[in-house]
Amino acid sequence: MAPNTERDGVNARGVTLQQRRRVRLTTWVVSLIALAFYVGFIVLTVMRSHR
Amino acid sequence: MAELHQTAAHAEHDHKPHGWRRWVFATNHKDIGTMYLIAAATMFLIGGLAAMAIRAQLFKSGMKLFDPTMFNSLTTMHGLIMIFGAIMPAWVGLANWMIPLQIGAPDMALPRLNNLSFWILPFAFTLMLASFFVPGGAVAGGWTMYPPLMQQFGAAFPMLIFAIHLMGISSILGAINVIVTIMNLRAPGMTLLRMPLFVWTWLITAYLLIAVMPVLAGAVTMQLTDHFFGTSFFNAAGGGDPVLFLHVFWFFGHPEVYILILPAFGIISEIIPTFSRKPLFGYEAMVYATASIAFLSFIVWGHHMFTVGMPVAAQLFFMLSTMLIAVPTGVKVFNWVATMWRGSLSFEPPMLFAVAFLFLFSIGGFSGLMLALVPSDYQYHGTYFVVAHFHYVLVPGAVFAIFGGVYYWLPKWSGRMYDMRLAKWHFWLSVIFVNVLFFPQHFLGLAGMPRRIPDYAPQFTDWNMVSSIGGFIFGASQVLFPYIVIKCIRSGKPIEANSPWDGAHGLEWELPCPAPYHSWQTPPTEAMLAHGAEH
Repeated sequence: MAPNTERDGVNARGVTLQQRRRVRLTTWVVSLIALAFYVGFIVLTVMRSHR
Repeated sequence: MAELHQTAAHAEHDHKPHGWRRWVFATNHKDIGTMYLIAAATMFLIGGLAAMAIRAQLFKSGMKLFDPTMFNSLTTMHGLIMIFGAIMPAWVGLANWMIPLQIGAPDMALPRLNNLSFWILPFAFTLMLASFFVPGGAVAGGWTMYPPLMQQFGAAFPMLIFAIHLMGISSILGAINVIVTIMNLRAPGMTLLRMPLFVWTWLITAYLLIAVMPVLAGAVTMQLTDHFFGTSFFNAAGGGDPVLFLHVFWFFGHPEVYILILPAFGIISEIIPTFSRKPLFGYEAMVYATASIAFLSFIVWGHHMFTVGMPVAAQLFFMLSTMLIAVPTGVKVFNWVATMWRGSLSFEPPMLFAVAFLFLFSIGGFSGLMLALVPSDYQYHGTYFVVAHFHYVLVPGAVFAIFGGVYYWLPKWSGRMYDMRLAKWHFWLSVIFVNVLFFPQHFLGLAGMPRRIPDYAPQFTDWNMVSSIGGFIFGASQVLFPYIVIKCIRSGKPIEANSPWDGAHGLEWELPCPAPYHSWQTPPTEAMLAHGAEH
């Protein structure tokens, strides 16, 4: 089911409350994935280059 | 009904800010999309001028227009400008314009972040271009920035690294916005497998960006600390390993190739059904093929560095995994051709660019297969054959898809039709001279002409002259493109219907032309969705 099914708490841009909550959660998850790749690859490089 | 529905929302909400505030504080996805496209076109011009300078120097053996360092700076900056400054921002611009329109969302999910991701770019571009004017000139070690060569440049080195960080941050923020928008703001009833292919390819591209742009940022950060803070990640004298940079860089670099081409696949999948007046053949297969290509892009990076010295088992793995990419790519090409099969074809400018894409991108794909073969690659590596290969993928591939996309959606953006005759001139000049420009480079490479050299042995002169003449005419013919777009916006024939293309399906064509400043504040109806979702 597509997310935009409930029309509660629609703001001036036409975005519902449920969508705004899910936007916040998805933003966090995706940002953390990016951060994990950044840190992860630096750690891997350190481990590999100074064996 | 569709127009009534939108007109009501339109009349209520179509007020927009005026003057410079509209652009500096822009949060509207259409305004930000327009700014991205203008920035990309500007950088395309600058990168194109660098290309013209390169081709002028290579016109014949013994030319001395630039000293060798300046020549190498031009090739390095041409690559960086075109990849990070032209093609990527053009895709983000198209994503900004089209994703909300195509999924029935009122805007991007994070409009202020959208503003930030755009406005980082002018600073990044200025920093990158300003490095031409610092002592020692711009970085000249190739766009791949390999150490230890990269470590030998002066002030331009940290400037480039900072610029790359800024462009990387901009891309990551843009990608977050795309993912969040597509995952959360789809209209009711717009399930994942009803989304247009352009949205699908951009969703997958955004995940690629999220995974690999931080890796590039990490790699260049480590180069920076090697240079200024005494670390030795890639410094052999300190216990580090320069080859390790190649691994990390190409772990970014190969998915980057697909970041540049997947949205092109999406656009071609929009254009071909429209001008074949048939639904896309194998919609789901197209989605899965795109996802397969994205997955495979993470496990093939070694094919860029076969000659660096790696175990035979690793060479075999990278060779076979690379050749595997031909399978989903073949599925796509087959499906595009099958869509055209027995279709009611017409050849307006977007379709012309799409058909040229099919032929010419396939040439780039086949030369890629040749390069994937380890024994052959030992011969081709570092030659003009590689230059010919990736330019076939990126110019008649990515750039032609961008032209096709703009010619397809420009009437929706501007509410006016462009000069069809001039656009066809633009196409024919481009398609003829892009081949004159790049095809001879295959011969040069096979004959042994190395890439990244400011001069060459006299026996390479003839094909270099042909290539340069092709380059000059191809470059000059691109002036038509901004002229056609500006002429359309200022004095094109207004479009009365929602769509100028009778075969077009998709929610964007349910909106009036031009698309209202605020669109889909009331979600589209199921009837619109059903009409639009006829892939």
